[in-house]
Amino acid sequence: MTAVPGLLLLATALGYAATAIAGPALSPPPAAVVLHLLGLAAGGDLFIEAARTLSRGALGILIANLLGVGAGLAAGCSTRLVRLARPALTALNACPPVVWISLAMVWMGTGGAVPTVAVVAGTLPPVFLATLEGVASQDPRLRAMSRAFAVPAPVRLARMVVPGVFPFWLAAFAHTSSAAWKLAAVAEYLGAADGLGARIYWAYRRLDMEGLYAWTAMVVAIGVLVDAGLIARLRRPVRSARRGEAAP
Amino acid sequence: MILRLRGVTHQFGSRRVLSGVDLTLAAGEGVRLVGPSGRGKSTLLEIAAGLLAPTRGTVDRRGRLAIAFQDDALLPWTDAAGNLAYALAGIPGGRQRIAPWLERFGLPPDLLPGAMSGGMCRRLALARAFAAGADLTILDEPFAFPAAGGRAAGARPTPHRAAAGGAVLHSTHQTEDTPASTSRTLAIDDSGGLAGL
Repeated sequence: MTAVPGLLLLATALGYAATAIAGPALSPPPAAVVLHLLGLAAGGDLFIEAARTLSRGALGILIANLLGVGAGLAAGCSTRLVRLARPALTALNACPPVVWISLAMVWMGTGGAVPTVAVVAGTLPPVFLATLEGVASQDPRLRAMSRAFAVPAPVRLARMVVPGVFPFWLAAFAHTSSAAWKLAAVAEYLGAADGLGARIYWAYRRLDMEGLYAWTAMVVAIGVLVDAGLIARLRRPVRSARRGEAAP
Repeated sequence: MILRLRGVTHQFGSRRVLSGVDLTLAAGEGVRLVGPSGRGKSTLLEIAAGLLAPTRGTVDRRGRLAIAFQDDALLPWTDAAGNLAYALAGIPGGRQRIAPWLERFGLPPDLLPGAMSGGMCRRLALARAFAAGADLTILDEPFAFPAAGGRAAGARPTPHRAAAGGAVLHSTHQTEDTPASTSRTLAIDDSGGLAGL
């Protein structure tokens, strides 16, 4: 978060430079964008639309993680399941989000479900593959030790498998969480009547450049807040364990 | 009888490390397995623990097992007390044994393995094995860190465990290690067989 003032300063400088080069009609000055943002905030639109996009993205990530982690843990315990699931998930991982967005629009029509489906489809494969990788990478000596001491299966899962998988899952979660907002916004742009992406679409259709910049700034701000507020906190226990300290 | 190996033979590829090993351990008995590194001591211990299937032969083991691996096999993300709690999770009253055994081995309960010396990690692995109070305790090179106090700390509970009715099977490449509990000393010979010393 210490880099935020510097980042804002740089964005402001670049904004004014763009205004000077392209003109205020194509690239409005940062002060006008801020004023537009304040107007949207005062009317409540800014927070309502942000909450819509946030809730769709969060629901998508939640579903993807429940399914991906659960399936990854189960598949990781069976080499046969890993062999069966890996090619299919690799193929799904290679599928561009626009395919899922198009299918969701055909199946469900335009609306709030499209961004959630797009986020689930886009984030489930990496979460599943990371969890699978985490289980497969576990130290076989720890498994042997658990067998020798006849540690009960629920305890093994909670205290050996899950902590071992955690760094792998976290890397996937950090990547997918920041990607989810972009996915949700793209899906709203193409297939929803509301949300930040839809507002970007309507600002573009009306050539409302101040609005376009203001809604874009909000999407970026959410991404930064998610990374600084959530992902950075989750990384701390992993770093502490690597340094041999108790988690703060 | 706690452990009985009959005609145990094991090969890694074409290399035979154990050949027709017979070994019986009774309750209260301590057996020391000596020999240089690479002779097959750890392989024999893993077969005895049921962690490795022998190429030929049978393993008959009764009762609960505890083991201290040569590489300690500690959970890196949990502290000393958590490592003991994990291994003792299936043992009734296991939680009450954690503090006394950590104290006995001079280990702070809240230290993570990553912050411990090699000797401390070895002592933690030994504390975990002895705290289990198993019928068969297997110790792979338990005294590998004498400078850190591992040998002194590890040697004391061995006779205690044997006196409590548990059998102890431990390996060492240091021929001077002779805990009071050791009733027999065996060595793996050049042909992979077991010979008394």
